[in-house]
Amino acid sequence: MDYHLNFFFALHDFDKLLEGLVVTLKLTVLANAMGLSLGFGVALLLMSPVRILRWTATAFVEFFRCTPALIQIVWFFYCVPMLFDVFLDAITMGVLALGLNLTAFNAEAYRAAIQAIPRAHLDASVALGLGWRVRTWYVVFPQALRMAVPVLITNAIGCFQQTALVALVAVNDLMYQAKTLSTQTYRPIETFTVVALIYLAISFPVSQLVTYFERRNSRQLGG
Amino acid sequence: MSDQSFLRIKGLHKSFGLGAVRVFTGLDLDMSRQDRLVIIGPSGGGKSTLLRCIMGLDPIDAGEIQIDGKPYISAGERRQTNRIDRAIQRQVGMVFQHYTLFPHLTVIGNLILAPVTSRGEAKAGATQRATALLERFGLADKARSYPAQLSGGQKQRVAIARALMLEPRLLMFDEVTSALDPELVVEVEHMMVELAGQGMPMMVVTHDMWFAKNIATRVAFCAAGVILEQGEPREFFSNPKLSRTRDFIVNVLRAA
Repeated sequence: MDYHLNFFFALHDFDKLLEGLVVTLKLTVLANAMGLSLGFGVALLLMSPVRILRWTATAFVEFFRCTPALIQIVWFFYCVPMLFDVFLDAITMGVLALGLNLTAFNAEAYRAAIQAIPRAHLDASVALGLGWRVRTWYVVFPQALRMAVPVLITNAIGCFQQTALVALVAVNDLMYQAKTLSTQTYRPIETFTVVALIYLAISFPVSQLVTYFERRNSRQLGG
Repeated sequence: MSDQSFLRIKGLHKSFGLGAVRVFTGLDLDMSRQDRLVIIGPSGGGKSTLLRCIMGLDPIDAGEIQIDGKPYISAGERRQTNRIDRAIQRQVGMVFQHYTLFPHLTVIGNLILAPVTSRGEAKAGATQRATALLERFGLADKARSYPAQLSGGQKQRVAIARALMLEPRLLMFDEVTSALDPELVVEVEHMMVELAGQGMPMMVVTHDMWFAKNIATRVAFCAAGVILEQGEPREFFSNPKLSRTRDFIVNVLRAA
C-alpha cells in the first residue's frame, strides 16, 4: 500500500470540525431536552387507564423503535414539508426528528423504571395513609427517576451518535464537515479517524457515568 | 365483650383467582382495645392475607370489618370493590416483613413523609417527634442514614417507628422478624415488648412462638379459612381444644 498518512491537514482545518461539533452538540442537547421531557409524558400515557391514550402512545413508541432512525430523518426532511407544507430550518428539523426518536426510547426507559417500583412500596404507602398524589410524587417518581438515569444517559449517547445521520440531509454537523473535508482533501482515512476520535472522546466519559449511576443505584435502591 | 369490642370482623369471605383459592370462608374475629392478638397458623392459612384485608390492601369478597362499632370495610356490590372508610383506615398501621422503607429517603425522611405530606404537620414539628422516637428506640445516630446503610434489625425498627409516627390506634405486624438473621430478631422483639407495655393494641402475625408467649393477651389459630380456636396464651398452649390446634402446636414447638 502506497498511502502515506498525514494528519496535519486535520489540525489545519480543525476549526471547521469544531464548528461542526458545536452543531452536533446543539442537536444533541436540544433533542435530549425534548426526549427527557416529552418522553416522561409519553411514559405516563403508555400506562394510562384510558385505552385510546395508551394505544396512541404505544403506536408512537413502536413506530420510532421499529423503523431505522435514518429513514425517520429522511422522512422528516423530505416528506413533512411536502405533506404538511411546513418549512423549518434544517437544525430545527434535525432536532425534531432526533428528539421524537429519543422521546420514544426514553418513554420506554421511564415506563420500565416506574413499573419496576416494588408493589410492596405501594402497599406501604397505603398503610401510611399516603394518597395517590403523594405516593406518586414522593415515593414512585423519585425512585423511578433514579432507576431510569443510567438508561437515559445511554439513550443520550445513542442520540449523540445518531446526530451523524442528519449530515445526509445537509445539516452542517460534525459528520457533514467531515464529509466535506474528506472530499476537499482526498483524505478520508485521516478525516474519519479524527472525527471518530472526537465522537469517542465525548461519548466515553459520559458512558462512564452510566456505570457510576448503575453502581450507585444498586447500592442505594437495592436495599 | 361486645360492648368493648374495638375491631370486629364478621363473616369475612376472601378468595383469589375468581374463587379458585378460598382463603377465608366466613371468618369472625373480635378484638378489644386491651388486646394484643397474636395470630398463628400454617403457611398459606391466610394469616398475612387477614392483615392485608384489614389494612385495605386486599379487597374482601363478602362480610364486614368494623372498628368501634362503625363499618370500616365492607364488600361492595361488584367483586373487587370495597367500601372503605378512609378516615378509619388512617388510624390503622401496618409493618411488613420486608421493611419497605423508601430507599431514596433518609431514616428521618421516611418517618416524616406521611405526617408532613398527608397530615399537614409542620416539618420542624414532625422532625422533632421523629428524633424523639428514634432516640427512644436507640436509633438516634441513624437519623441521617439511608435504609441501605442499616442492618435488617435496624430497618425493621425504623419501619415500626415510621408506623408509630402516625399514632395508630391499631398496629399490625406481618411476620416482622421472619426476614431477619436470628441475632437481629431480639432487638425487634424488645421494641415490640416496649410497645406492648404501653398498651398499644397490636395484631401480630408470626411463626415465632416467642411473641405468642411474651406479648400476647390472646392467641388465635387461623387455618382452613377461619379462626379455628383462640384463647388466653397459657390456656391456649397448655390445653388446646381441637386436635388440629394441638398438632400444630406440637409441631411448631418441636421445630423450635
